[in-house]
Amino acid sequence: MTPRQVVIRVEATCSPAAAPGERVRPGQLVCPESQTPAYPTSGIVQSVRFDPNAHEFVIVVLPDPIR
Amino acid sequence: MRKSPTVLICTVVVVLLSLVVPTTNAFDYPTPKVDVNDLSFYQPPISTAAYPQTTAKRVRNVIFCIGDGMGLSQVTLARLRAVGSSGKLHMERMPVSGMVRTHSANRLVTDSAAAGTAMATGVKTNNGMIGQRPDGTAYRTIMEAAQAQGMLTGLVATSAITHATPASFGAHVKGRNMEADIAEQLLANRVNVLLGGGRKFFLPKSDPNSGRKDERNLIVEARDAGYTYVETAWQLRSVNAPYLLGLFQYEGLKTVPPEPMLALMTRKAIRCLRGARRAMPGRRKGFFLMVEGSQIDWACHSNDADSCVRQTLLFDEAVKAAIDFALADGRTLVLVTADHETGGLTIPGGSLKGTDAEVKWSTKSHTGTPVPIFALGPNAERFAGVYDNTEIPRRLAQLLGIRPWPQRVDK
Repeated sequence: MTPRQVVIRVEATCSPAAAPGERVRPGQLVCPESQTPAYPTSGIVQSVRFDPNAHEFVIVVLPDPIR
Repeated sequence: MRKSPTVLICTVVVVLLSLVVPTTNAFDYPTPKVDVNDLSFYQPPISTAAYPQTTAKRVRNVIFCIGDGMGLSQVTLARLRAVGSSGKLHMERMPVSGMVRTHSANRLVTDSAAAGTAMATGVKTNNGMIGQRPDGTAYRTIMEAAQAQGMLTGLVATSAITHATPASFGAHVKGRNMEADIAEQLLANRVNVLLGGGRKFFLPKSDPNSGRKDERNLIVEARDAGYTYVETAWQLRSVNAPYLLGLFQYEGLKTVPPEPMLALMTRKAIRCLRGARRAMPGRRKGFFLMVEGSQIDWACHSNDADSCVRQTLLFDEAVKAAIDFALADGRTLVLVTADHETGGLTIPGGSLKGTDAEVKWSTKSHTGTPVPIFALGPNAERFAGVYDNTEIPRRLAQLLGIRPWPQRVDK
């Protein structure tokens, strides 16, 4: 079974650097121009969606399987 | 009743598939069910000549139009697609133009809350804050000050009416996401006309669509306080009331029929404010109306050029409604500007015809580039030049005789 997705929301004044399909590592900054937040886990970015009503980017990461 | 094994197996398969199959696509901007390339709604100007200067010197009404995220490239792209490289949008025909700097108190790149606060109160604040300085001191907005002078007031937006830009003109909160509090403040401030989305923040938490954490029903409270409430375009067309609350979606508008378009909301707001001014003894000083094309920003966050063009033209139709009224009235100042640019949009190539303009985006967020301002009406020339966004309400305060400026809100 696919591991549970990790959903990260960031204010849309920051621009997420990782595009869908890219690998991210724990501690890697979601937006390089700001100091927070960082990805909590390693995995593949599944989608980056703009939520207009909250004015936030919603980033979905599929974590690497636990070994 | 017992379920058959087949039904049970199918149910398990569906549940497992729902865990595996992604529910969202990459950058899936919630595109409304509309052909974004169909620009037939747009009535382009029949001339490229500048609209005439007004001879009157005294400002009676102010219509402040804000295109959220609308930098010079957004205006240019919309123009190229709609009327070609030689044409002009309605806002570009306004006789006075300038450039506005947009940085906030703590960032070179602002958000709508800080930029809205700067344009409404004349003070800089941190990104995310509404109507307050970074230390939490609340400052009166130009709309509140105009109201205190006896003017009528209105806010119109295609976002929730509690979203950052309209909130900046009628509320004071430390965080832009405090939309339930903003809804309360907009009504407590007795803003005459409130048209947009955001119904969820007016409904009690027992309502399944509510965005509130209490049982207050602000729609009922608004009616009790004398507001006429509407939620369809048909209702809006037939109403003329001194206090009007129109909430056409739970969140932001879809900007497609059967909703009222921004131009219709603008015309209706102007009509209600004029009618109210005539009907209310002592209220002879005109009105202050803020109109926001909220979703230019939303399209640009998704780097969606077609939606950006459509939203900019929808906004330009609303600007046209404001210009039509101002030219007929002769004592109405119309300002058109933006809170910031979104997307880092550039146009690196294309033909003079304009319809095949190339588009490049440098970010999915806001940028720190200056934004254009256009002005028409009495004293419009005072808005020429290059200046900070806090200058806009300062110059408006001068024209409306509001002193001192900026003003702290007395506790």
